[in-house]
Amino acid sequence: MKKTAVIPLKSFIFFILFIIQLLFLAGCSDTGKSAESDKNFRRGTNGLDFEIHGVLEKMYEGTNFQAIVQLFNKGAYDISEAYVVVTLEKDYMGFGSGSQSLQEVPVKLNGKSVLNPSGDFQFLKYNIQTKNVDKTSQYHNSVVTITACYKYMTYVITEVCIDPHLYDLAPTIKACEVKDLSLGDQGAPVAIEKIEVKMLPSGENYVKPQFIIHIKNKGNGNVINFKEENGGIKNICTQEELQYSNWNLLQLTKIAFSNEKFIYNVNNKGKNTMECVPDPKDKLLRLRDGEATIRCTAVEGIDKQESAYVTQLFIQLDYGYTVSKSEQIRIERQLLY
Amino acid sequence: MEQRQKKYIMRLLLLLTISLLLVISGCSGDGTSGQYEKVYTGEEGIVLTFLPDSPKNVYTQDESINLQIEVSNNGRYDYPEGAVFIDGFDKQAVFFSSTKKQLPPLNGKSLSNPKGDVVFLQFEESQGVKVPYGDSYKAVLQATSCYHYQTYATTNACIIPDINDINKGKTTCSPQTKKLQTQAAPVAVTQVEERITRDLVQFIITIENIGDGRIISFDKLHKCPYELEPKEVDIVYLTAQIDTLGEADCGENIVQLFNKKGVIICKFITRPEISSYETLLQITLDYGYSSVIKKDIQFINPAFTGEEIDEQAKTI
Repeated sequence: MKKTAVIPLKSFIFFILFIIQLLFLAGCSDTGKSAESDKNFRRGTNGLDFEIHGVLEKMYEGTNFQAIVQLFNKGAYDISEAYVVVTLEKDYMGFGSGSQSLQEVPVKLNGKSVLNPSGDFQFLKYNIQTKNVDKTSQYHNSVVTITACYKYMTYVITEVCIDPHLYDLAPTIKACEVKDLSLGDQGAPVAIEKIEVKMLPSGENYVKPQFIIHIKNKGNGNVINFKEENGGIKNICTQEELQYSNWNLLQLTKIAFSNEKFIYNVNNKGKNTMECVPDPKDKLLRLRDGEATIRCTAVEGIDKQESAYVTQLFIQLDYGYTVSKSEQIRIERQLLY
Repeated sequence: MEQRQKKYIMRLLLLLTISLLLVISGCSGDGTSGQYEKVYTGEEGIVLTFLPDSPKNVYTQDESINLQIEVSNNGRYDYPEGAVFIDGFDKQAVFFSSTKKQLPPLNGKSLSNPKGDVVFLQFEESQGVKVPYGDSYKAVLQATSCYHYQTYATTNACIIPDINDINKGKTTCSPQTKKLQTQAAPVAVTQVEERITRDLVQFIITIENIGDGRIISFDKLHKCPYELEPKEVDIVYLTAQIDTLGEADCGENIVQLFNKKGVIICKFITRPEISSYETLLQITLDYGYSSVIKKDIQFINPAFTGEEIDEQAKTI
């Protein structure tokens, strides 16, 4: 005769209760991600970005529509100066009442931060009217182009090893090792990709730390001159043709280490303790094929009495940036029957 | 029947356990030889240790580091002179009032003090730590010891003043190559090879750096740890003596180590009128030594939001 296993009711109830308790405990366990603020907001290669809404693929001639531009500051830095320019094919579209081709973003757009992990956004509205299509055509394909220009910055804070004994032959046991730094994105379209760290001997007992900074435009737009004396971002953005001289220019505004004992600051009225080549005070740094290099060196050497140490290196870049997007629109002739 | 068999097995197991316990306890001896070995062997000299929470892994901006380092003399040499240095951090952000402390007098291991002396060195900050930029600064806290130390090694030596005695079979001992145990110091005599010639007895002495640090010429210790030259490291001063023959001729008495190992030849002139005998060869190594401990520490500024730098940038 075949025996069948019978589970006592008491054991079964205990088993079920145990499982329920386990489920509760699993529910309680927190990964910690939700509670902790996202401190790594300085990621990605975006700055100001936008989406265009309300531009339909097909419109009839002589009709009005509202184009809505939703601006996002997807980078990690605040925007205090930004302009949006809408370009239309004049013969086929025009602005309705109250709309201008250039709009200054009236309020500042804060970037991502611990307190604002998504960054600010804002809507701009444009009333646009389609004009008549040529009498000989049934339709006309046109585009609505939107260009945003804004002032932006990138900064990097990283640890770097300063070793006054790099070239000593004695095998000293050091706290750190001098090495080049490869950096990730910094929450801005322009990034410091790499920093070459060198210790230049200066006399017998000193070394001068030198940083060769490699900069790259990693965004999907172009770097533009942000300096007011060149007309500023507003003028550059509204010029029909952007002058070559205003393209691909940025400024290394500040570099410092050892809690600013060694510093180069463009606006420092006193004496800088670092010098950069090319000197950012004299001219802006030009990107070639989207890349540029600048070399900054401590003016005074570090005494060999000091041991190797890890310090924070701070680098700040300032620039203007422009990004464009277009929407296709087909303006159709209204057929009268 | 089955019950009786079970009882029998149980008794057998009990008997086996008791006899095993007796054997184990018999092996442990009276403990004196173990104690002796503990005191007179080992690979350490001055040992630095960070206490479990000193330094902590993380310090908050403006918090002061009160660093305590345990310094123990785990070797056999008494009162080694030297100092402890701390470095690895940015002195513009971490403000220790002193980064160098002299070693206090520390007795080495002995039968009456089998662990050697231990003291705690304290390094205090004159003001709290700073995080110059951003929300965290990762630094290294490294403590380096630089001290004078000595190693004493002894081994049996066979002295055969007349080499002809070997062929005649008149000797009471024979020259051997001996591997030595460690000597409660970071530098050890690891091998002594004895060779007999007509008027001389020669010892080829191998010494090794068996510790986790670096050897420094003891007369250059004042340059440790930051100003040493390559020719000032891996140098040991050696003297050897036999009571009946006096001090050995070891050339300049200097052993240069390569890849942590060095060899020196020491000679004694023998007196042919004496017959062969066994005696003690005493070797003393004199050197500086430096070892390092380090710990990664992080300084955080929880109040940093990123807006501080944006605010600064507006003024630029």
